[in-house]
Amino acid sequence: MSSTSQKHKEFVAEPMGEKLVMALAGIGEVLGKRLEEKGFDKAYVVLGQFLVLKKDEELFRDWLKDTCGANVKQQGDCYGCLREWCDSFL
Amino acid sequence: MPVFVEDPAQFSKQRLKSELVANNITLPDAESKKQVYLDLYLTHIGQKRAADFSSDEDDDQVQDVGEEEKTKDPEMLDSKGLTDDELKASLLKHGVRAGPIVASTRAVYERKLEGLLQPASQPKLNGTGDTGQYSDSEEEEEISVSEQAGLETASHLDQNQQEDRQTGLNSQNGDTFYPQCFIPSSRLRARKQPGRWKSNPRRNARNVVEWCAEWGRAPPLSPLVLSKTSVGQPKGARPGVLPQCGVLIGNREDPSSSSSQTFSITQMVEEGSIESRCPLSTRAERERGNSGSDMERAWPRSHREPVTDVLMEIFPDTEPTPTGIVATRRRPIKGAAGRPVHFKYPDTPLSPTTMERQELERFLVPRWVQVVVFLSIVCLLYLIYACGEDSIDNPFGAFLENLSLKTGDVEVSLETGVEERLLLKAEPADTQVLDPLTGQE
Repeated sequence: MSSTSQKHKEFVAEPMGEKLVMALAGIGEVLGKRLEEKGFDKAYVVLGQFLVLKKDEELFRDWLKDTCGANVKQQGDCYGCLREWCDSFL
Repeated sequence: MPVFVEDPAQFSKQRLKSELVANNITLPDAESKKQVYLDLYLTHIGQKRAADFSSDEDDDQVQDVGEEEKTKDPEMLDSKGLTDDELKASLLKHGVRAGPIVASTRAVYERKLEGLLQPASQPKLNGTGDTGQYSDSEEEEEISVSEQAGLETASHLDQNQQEDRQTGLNSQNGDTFYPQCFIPSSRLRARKQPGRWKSNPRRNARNVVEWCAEWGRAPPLSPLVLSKTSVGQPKGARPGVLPQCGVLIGNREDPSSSSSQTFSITQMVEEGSIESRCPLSTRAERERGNSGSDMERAWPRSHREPVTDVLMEIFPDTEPTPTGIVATRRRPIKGAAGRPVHFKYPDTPLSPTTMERQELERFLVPRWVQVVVFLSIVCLLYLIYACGEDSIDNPFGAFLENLSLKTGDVEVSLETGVEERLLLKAEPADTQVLDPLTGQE
């Protein structure tokens, strides 16, 4: 079982509400800024993209890489974070 | 690519800058206003962006303008020219159930489609190339597979070998890699005396080495060539085979030997190790100042055993070898796997507890001594008791007499009529005195 970061645990613990995209696991300041520039200023917008891609891991990773240049680890963290959030709250 | 339909005027200055740089447009002064950037952006990039926009309405018009020239390409390679439905259909053809193809998802699905299309064409090209290099014989195919498997490790070993040759650190390599990937030392050279091979009947694969050794010179095969390699008729038209051969021969001086093929690495290794070990074993017996451990001294001993030790075959080095391979060998299991028990095991080291116990026992009194002392004391006490019983009156008799005398003096002084009492007193005194004695016993 891979270990999850503190950020992941915090994000998954409660409904995301109006949390910024930087609150997502794997998304730091730099990536967060890039996403915001693309219009994904809130975490729920990224969630929307995640859902539109039907929660598909590969597609979401590709999209994330293309949008903000996330590396493999960051992609994985973000995907896992959103997936787990969906499992709990969706 | 923009995900939303964005107004460039709403871009940040930084964003405009990055976009300009991405398109190789010279930036204006660093302190220019955003408007300058925006103007540049719009003039140069605006049109391009319009072409890239992925809205449904603009698609047909824009894409047609931008990519009419690609019409000769099949639909496959022109994922951008497809409508959303067409894109979805093509993805479905490849077994991908796509979700809604929206502005944000279109790019992802286009890439996915392109990714699906590309690998379909690649394997065909590779296949033809491979079959052209290798022949159809079964053994060669099998061997080629094993060779390819070992190629990476062999080449890796080659590099390591060159590095470690002088440092003698190959024990690590030898321990981690499989034997078949082991690169025998450079002693694996072409033998000028083929007859020598015959002297060791137990060397089955030796011919492989010879064959490989002679491979570079492309001589006719010797009669000693094994059946295994019989199929491997040297075919000069095989360059691909094995740089392994050259590698395996331990950086030999024959680069042309890379043209050999039809042998397996395991055969090579065994052969090389066996034949190279022969001269070494005799030398090892003489040489004592090996760089290896004491276990290496045991190697010539075990070499006398009729059964060959696999490890010895694998690691023929018992001296500072050109390859620098040094391996410590585990103690052979005497009596196991048919090995005769010629030599006993050396004394096994005792466990720490037993060693401690032995240390302590030097200081502790031995048990037998304790028992003897105990018995002697018991005997002594018994003797004392027995002697005491015989002459019980003697030591105590004087004591009793003193007692009776004292009591007698006291009584006489009182009344004479009490003589009987005296006697009575004396007797009970005696008996009383005796009683404790008897009581003790």
